[in-house]
Amino acid sequence: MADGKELTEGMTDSNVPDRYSRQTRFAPLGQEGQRKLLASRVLICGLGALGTVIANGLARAGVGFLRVIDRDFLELNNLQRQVLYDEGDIASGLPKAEAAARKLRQINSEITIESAVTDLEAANIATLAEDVDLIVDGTDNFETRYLINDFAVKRGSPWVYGGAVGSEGHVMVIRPAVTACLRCLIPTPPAPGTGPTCESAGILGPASAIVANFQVAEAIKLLSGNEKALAEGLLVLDLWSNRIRRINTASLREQSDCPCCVHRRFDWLETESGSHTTSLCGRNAVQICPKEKVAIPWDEMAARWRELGKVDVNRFLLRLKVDDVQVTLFPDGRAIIKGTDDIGQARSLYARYVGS
Amino acid sequence: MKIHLLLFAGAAEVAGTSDVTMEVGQAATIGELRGKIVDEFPDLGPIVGRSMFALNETYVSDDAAISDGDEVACIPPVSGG
Repeated sequence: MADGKELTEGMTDSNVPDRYSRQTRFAPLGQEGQRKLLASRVLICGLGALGTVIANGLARAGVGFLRVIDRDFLELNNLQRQVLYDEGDIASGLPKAEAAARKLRQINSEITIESAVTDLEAANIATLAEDVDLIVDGTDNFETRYLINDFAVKRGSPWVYGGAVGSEGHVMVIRPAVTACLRCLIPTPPAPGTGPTCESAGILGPASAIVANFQVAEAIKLLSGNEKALAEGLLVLDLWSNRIRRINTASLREQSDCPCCVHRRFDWLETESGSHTTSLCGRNAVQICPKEKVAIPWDEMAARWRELGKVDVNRFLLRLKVDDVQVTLFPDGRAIIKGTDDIGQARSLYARYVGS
Repeated sequence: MKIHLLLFAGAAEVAGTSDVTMEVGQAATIGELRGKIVDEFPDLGPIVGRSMFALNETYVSDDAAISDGDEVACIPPVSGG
């Protein structure tokens, strides 16, 4: 038997690169599981504390195609837990999606990494998610999670929910028609500002990392054809009080009168798209998305802003610092206004500096 | 009868404890327990209203009956990431 193992070492199946040998030797995965991973396509939504760990894990594991998206840019306080970034990325003023994609390509140049600096919304979710096998949640808000849930249930494809705050986290694999969905579990979305966020309650790096790694493990099981090994129900963990509970949600699915997965009403997917403004909870910042995507005249805008205040510019974002306000503008007209959580004031700053 | 109440996330933060033994009447339900928790920790009102409840590690609705010695977990949604 030992001889047999020696023989196969270093001469793995030509379809399966040797770089994955340590995980293909894990019997439940094997070469067959690895081949399935290499042929899989995954969308990772959000590249913060969860998303960076998820992307890191799936890229190293050899998932063949990763699309990574995030709407935000990098800040120094991200480095405490967002493992794909370093100080150099912050100095370069890169959006998270671009910095993450560069790092992921260095980690694994043999897979395809696609990135987009964008907010996931009803208008673009089909384009970003219809060609993937699985969506993994690295978002930081319930609005986007309900949108992902709507899309996944409608399409009948799985997604992995994860959330983390403080020292705690939740993980649940959602498989339409097999498990309960997010809306079965939490029928009414928590109103923005009612729950603790990473900004208000803080977040420990190990808490978000462990949640994200649970998500990675479930993703690997799902994509490699090991559905039987999938975790059932909702995992609830608290690293500080040393509690882990796996909540059985089977009855929830049986008794559910869920508007989404039973009555097939997709409220977040069918919302009227268009201009929207979102207060980025606890960050003293507001995001503004114009009704129509526009192409900002980059150099012209940069020149105009230089007369008003301090300007940073690269290919991905344009930033103006004036008084106590920071306006970060993306090429499609989306902006994040920092220095206020008042939506009205943010809109008027957008009108003043970007145009209405 | 006595139950063992576990508070998670924002609920534990607001109540200042994550682990409480509570005295409840016979034939109490999860719905009644929600009220009792708020009586004991008035600040928990909004959080308890939007929390999930698990009885001995199984998700339950408000009409589920509680027995002596049960572990009840109050689990607010976790949105960060």
